[in-house]
Amino acid sequence: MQSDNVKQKGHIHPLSQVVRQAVGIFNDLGFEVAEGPEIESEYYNFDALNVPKDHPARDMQDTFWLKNGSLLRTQTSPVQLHYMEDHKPPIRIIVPGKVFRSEATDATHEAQFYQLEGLAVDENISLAHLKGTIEEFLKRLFGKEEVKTRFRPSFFPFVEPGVEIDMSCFKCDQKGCNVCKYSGWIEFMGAGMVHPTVLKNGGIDPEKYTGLAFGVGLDRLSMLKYGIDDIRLFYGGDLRFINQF
Amino acid sequence: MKVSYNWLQSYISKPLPEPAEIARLLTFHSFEVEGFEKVGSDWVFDIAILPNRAHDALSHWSVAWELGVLLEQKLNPLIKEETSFNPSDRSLEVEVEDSKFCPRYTGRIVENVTVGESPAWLKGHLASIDQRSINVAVDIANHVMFSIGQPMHVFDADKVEGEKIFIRMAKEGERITTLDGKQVELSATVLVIADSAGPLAIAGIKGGTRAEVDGKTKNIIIEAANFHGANIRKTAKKLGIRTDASIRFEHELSAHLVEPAMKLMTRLLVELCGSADTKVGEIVDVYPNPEPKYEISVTTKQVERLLGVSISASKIEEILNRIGLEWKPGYIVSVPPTRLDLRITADIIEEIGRFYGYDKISGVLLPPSAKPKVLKSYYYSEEIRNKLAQEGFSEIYNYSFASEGEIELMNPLAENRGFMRTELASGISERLAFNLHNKDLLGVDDVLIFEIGTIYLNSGEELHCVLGSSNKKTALPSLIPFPVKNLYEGIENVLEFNFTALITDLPQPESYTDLLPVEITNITYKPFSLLPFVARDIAVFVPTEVLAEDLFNIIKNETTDLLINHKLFDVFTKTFPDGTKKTSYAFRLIFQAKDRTLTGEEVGVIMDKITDLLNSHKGFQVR
Repeated sequence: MQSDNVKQKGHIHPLSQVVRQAVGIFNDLGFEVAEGPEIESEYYNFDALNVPKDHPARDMQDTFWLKNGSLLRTQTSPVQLHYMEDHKPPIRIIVPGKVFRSEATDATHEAQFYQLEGLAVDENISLAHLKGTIEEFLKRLFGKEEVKTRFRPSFFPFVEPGVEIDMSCFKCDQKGCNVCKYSGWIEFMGAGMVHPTVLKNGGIDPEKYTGLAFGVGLDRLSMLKYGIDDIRLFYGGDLRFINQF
Repeated sequence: MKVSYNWLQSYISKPLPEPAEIARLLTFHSFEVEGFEKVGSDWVFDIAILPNRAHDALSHWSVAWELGVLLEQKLNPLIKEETSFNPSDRSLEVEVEDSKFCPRYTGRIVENVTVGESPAWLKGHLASIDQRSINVAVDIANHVMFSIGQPMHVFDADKVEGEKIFIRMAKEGERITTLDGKQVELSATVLVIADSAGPLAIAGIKGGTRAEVDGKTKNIIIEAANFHGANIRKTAKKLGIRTDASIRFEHELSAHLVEPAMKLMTRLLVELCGSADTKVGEIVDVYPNPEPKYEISVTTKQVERLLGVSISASKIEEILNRIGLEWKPGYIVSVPPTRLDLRITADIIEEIGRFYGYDKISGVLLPPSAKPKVLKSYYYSEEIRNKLAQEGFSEIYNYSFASEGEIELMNPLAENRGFMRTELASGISERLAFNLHNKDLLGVDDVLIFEIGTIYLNSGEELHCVLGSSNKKTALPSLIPFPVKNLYEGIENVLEFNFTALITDLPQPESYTDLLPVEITNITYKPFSLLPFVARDIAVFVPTEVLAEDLFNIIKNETTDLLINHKLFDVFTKTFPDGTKKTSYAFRLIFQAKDRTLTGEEVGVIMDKITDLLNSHKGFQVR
């Protein structure tokens, strides 16, 4: 209870808190925090990431284009390329960053949101390392003894193999609840092994090196963790929301 | 894509497992099954075919093939036995203006057919995937498309001028009436199938009425062609016409598909529309640049390195055999012509991995590595966050869009969001005013907020930090542990500074350890009511032994959960003339309902109850 002798307590934004936790976990696993520009060129956001020129994602519906010919990055993946161009393997980075999508906003969609990108490149990195790293991250993030993951075949132009990753429901421990829609699993991120063309574009020899990459939506992760029901709350600047954290 | 269980079963001789098992198998090895439901005597799956398999897998045959690999069963051949047809001497002439837009065109004439209603099995197949039955010829064309993924077209041969077909770009202003009766104006980027009189069809997208096949048609031209995906996509978008055919062409099909498609279509047409008089013409095949054959090398070592699991050579060979990939030792794998997605070693390793089963791969941690370098901007951002939170400031995130700025958007979501922000101060000023309304609800003395975020200038992006206070007396600069220059002296109690510039002069930190506690916070967010709240103050004199907490608990018991916050804002002791010493506690009580606007009267009633209750306690006196 407050009296005027006690200073009021400030609250750090829940997204900052999740980033802080993620940085702490990945720092222990040897990952460096990297950053990159929010305004990007078509080359770094699409071409160099192996997204073909006629891919639907390039349409006006999804990307914010700028009058000067650049665009607002639609994912944090461009930073993989910037970093690879300036560093030789072994590489381990995470990139928390703001991204933009030209989409109508509603409870689960926003025009700006946050992603956490991960990249590790070395001589013998495999899908098994991807699984182990993600499981360790989730275990610590949700404070669990164990978290299971499921890999499903998927497709993203910048990885091959590409997978969708489900995690065992942290809320009900797979007994079934409304968070996991009674399936025991929560779908939450895409990942895969870095496409050899992307490695090449980053100046890295794909014959010698392999890499793992993943991207997770931090807003969605926070919404799951804290039971937040509307993504727009993150950007509303409303202390009735922020002071709860 | 809608997929019928019965249709899949028609390709496999052994009975298929239950739909739920099919859904599970496909989801974990091939494509996500988003749902399935019973439709009559059939089950229909809703399958999300991956974008890089749309060129071959938007078809029942391909989905059945995936199941065949998973269930280790061979598929029945598409056409059971070859039969011979009476030859027709009517031949079709085809002229392709530019093979870039039409890499392959096959066509043939079938004479003396009767176009009536489709048989029940064909109607049933189409109905199960929500397709209308038109007439037997058109239905067969659709059936072939949904079976093997190659869109087909049929023309009434007698309505085509001469027997020559042109595949060319339309001329500006040419028009066509499409099969649904709409008049469409064409332009020079639209590929059309035409005769000497004009367009007959918008290639790969929609046919026209002029050479429409109907109940009176006696002679048919079958078209099985391959069109350049990007152009089809551009045209479909431009004309606003999207069909099952155009969706397939958009994703680029293999030119090889026209062969089995033409075979299957001819066979079904003769079977269902033909008689002893039916004659089948030669296939005209315009294919100047055949697709090259691809061979990919892959070694067991490469498989193990990428997947992180050891798979024996015999197991790899078994999987390659099941997938139907021809291979030579080493391995050199021959890519089937329809698999446009298999081009590099990693593609083959993915095929091996997904059929082997990702669930068989156990996770391992990366080997320990050197301590990572610290990112200065993140380190100092966190330091400022911690400092400001201690000082009572809460962090907000605002939008990057603004109504003015240096960097302008081409496609903003809203008119007043057409630029990227060049400062943070105006945003935080506005939020200060907003949050001030809820000060009592929040239980704070002052609204203290900050943001660390990017601003966007022609000269580049900068990270800025801005703080704002609703209290004019808050000395903002003193809260920042570094020397900073306020960029907006004019705005009332707001301090914004260039963080990027600041940190260039700060030392490179060695580690994050003094900054990052990794405590797990298990907060559950509580949605808050947007309805107005009511604030009321109450002050009570109580005996000095009574603590503020005890007093509040008494008050709390009397209120319902309409009391959502409270704040003790004044405490003092007073000695009365009769010598007794009492403590005065003053509370601000905040009331709010979740479902309605609370009235002053309602709250007044509650306050009266509280007053009476407190006064009934010995030694208590409400002021």
